[in-house]
Amino acid sequence: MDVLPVAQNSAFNAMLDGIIVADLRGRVVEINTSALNIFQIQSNQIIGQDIQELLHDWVQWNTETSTAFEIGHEIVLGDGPNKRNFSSRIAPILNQRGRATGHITILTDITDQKIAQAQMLLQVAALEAARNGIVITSAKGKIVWVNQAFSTMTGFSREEAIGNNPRILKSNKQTDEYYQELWQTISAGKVWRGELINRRKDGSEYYEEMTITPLIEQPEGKITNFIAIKQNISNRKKSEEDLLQAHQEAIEANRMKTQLLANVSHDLRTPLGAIMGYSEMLEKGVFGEVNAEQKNAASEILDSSNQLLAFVNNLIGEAQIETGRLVIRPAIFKPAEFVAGAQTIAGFAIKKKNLKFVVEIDPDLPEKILGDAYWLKQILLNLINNATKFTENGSIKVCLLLADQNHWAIQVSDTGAGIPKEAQQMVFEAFRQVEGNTRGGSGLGLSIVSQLTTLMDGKIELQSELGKGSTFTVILPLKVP
Amino acid sequence: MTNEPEPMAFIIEDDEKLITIFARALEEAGFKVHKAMDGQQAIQSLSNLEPAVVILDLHLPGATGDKVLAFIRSNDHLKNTTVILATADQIMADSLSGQSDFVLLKPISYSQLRDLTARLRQPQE
Repeated sequence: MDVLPVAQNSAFNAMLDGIIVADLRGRVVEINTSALNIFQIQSNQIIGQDIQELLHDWVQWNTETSTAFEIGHEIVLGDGPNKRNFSSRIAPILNQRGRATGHITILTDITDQKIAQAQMLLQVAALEAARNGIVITSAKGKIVWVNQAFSTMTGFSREEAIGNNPRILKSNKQTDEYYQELWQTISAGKVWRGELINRRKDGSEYYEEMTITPLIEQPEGKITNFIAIKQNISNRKKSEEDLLQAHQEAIEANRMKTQLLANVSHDLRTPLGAIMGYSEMLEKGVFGEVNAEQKNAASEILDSSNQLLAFVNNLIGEAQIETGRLVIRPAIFKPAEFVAGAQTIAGFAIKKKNLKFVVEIDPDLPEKILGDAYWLKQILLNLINNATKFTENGSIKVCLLLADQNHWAIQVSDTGAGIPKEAQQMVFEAFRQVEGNTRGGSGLGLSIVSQLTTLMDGKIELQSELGKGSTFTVILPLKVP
Repeated sequence: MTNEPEPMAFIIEDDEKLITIFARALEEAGFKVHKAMDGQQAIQSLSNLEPAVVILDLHLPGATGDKVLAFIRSNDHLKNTTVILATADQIMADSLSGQSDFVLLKPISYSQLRDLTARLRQPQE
C-alpha cells in the first residue's frame, strides 16, 4: 500500500478546518470530517451534490475568486447557543498548466476569536465612555493610551498625550517627595492612591483623585504597564471647603450667640438685683412703715421681676442645653429650704389669684439630698408658674415625695383648666402652646422642665383631666450625701 | 452676744445701688460694714482689715474678683474670712466655687443675704 495517499487522507480528515473540494461545476468531490461535522451531514448525502446546498452564496464567492487567489467571507451557521462563526476561503485547484480544475473551500471556526474581539471592543468602548480619565503608560511611564475623559479633563488630545510622560500635567503644587513616594509605590508593584493638583494644557489647575495600578506580567513579576484612573474632584473639594467654612461660621455664630446670651444675662441680672433688692426692702418696711397699698405695689414689682428673671433663666437654660453647655452640678441641699425659697418667689402671684398654696414634704424624704439646687428650683418654679397661669379657682399643691428607695419626686398639682389628652405630649416641646391657650407665655417653661429632667437622669409624668386640673411629677434619682 | 464687738463685713462691689442693698442686709444681720468699689483698693484695704465676711463681686474695676479672692486665700490673717461670691457671671462663679464659701447668683434677695449672713454669726457646731 502506498503510504502517501493514506497519510494525506488522514491529515485531510484530521484538520480542524472544514475542507470541501468541488469541481468546476460546483459539485462536491471531497469533504473532510470537520466539514461534515460543521454541516451535520454524512458524506454520501453531499458527495456529487451542488456545493450551494451547503454554502448558498458559493457561486458568487467563486466569481470573485477568479480574479483574486483567495477571498475571505464570514458566514454564520446554526443559531442560539449553537451559533458558530466561520471564515471561508476559496482557492482554485490548478493543474500543471495553470488551469483551474476545481476549487477548494476552507472553513475556519472563528467563533471564539469573534467573541474575544467583541468583548475587547466592548471593553474599549467602556473605557472610552468612562467618566474617569484613564491613562495607560509603559513601564517607563510613557503614555500609550488615553480615553476621551482624559482629554476632556486635561485639554490634551489623544494624539498630544500619547508618547508623552504624564509629567505634562505637573503643577508643582506637590513636593518632589510626593512624586517620589508615588513612583516608589508603583515601581514596587503596589497600587498608589491619592489626591493632587494638576495643570491642564491651558495652564488652569484642578484637583484630581488618582489611582495608579501596575500591570504585572506573570510568572516573571515584571511590570509591563501602569494604568492610572483619574477623577476631577475640584467640585467636591470646593463643596468640602464650602462646607468647612459654613461649619466654622456656624460654630462662630453659635459661640457669639452663647456669648451674647451670657452678656444679656449678666446685664439683666445686675439691674434686676437693684430692682428686686429695693422692692423687697420697701415691702419689708426696711425704709420705714408702709401701708397696705404701698406694700402691695412693692410686691407687684418683685413678682414681675421674678417672672422676668424666670424667663431669662429659661432662655439661658434653653441656649445652654442647645449648645450642650448646661452642666448639672450636684451639691448638698435641703429640700425643705428649696421649697420655701420657691414659695417666697411664687407666693405673691398665687395669693393674688386667691389660690390656696399647699406644701407637703414626705417625712421619709432625707433632710439633705444631692442635686443641682439652682436648676431644680428652675424646674419647680416653672411648674408652679405654669400651674398658677392655668388655675383660676382652688389650689396649687407642691409635694416632695420619696417615690421609692432610689427615687424622689417633685410633684405640682393644680385645680386648673387641664390639658386635653392629644396635647399632653406637645406641652413639653419648646415654644409650643396648646391650641386655644389665651394666657400667653413663651412656651419655654415646660420644655425646659422636660429637658432639665432628662439631663438629671429623671423622667416626667403628666396626669391631667380637662376642667379638673393637672399633676406634673418629676421623678429623679435619689442621691444622699 | 450684745457685749461682743460687731464683726466686720467687707462689701466689694462696683454698683452703688447693690452696695446699699447689701449693706442694709448685713447691718440688719449685725455686721459693721466696710465697702470698696475697686478691686485694687479692696486688696489694699484687706492688708489691714480682718473681715469676718467678704461679699465679692467678680467683674470689678482695678482688679477682678478672682484676683481679690486669690489675695484673700493667700493671706494668713484672712484664713477665717468667709467669702460669698455675689455675681451675675455664672460661668466665672462656677470656676471659682471651690475657693469661695458661698456663691450667690445675682439678683440676690435682700432677705436671703440677711438670713445667710445672720446664720454665719451664730457659733459653729
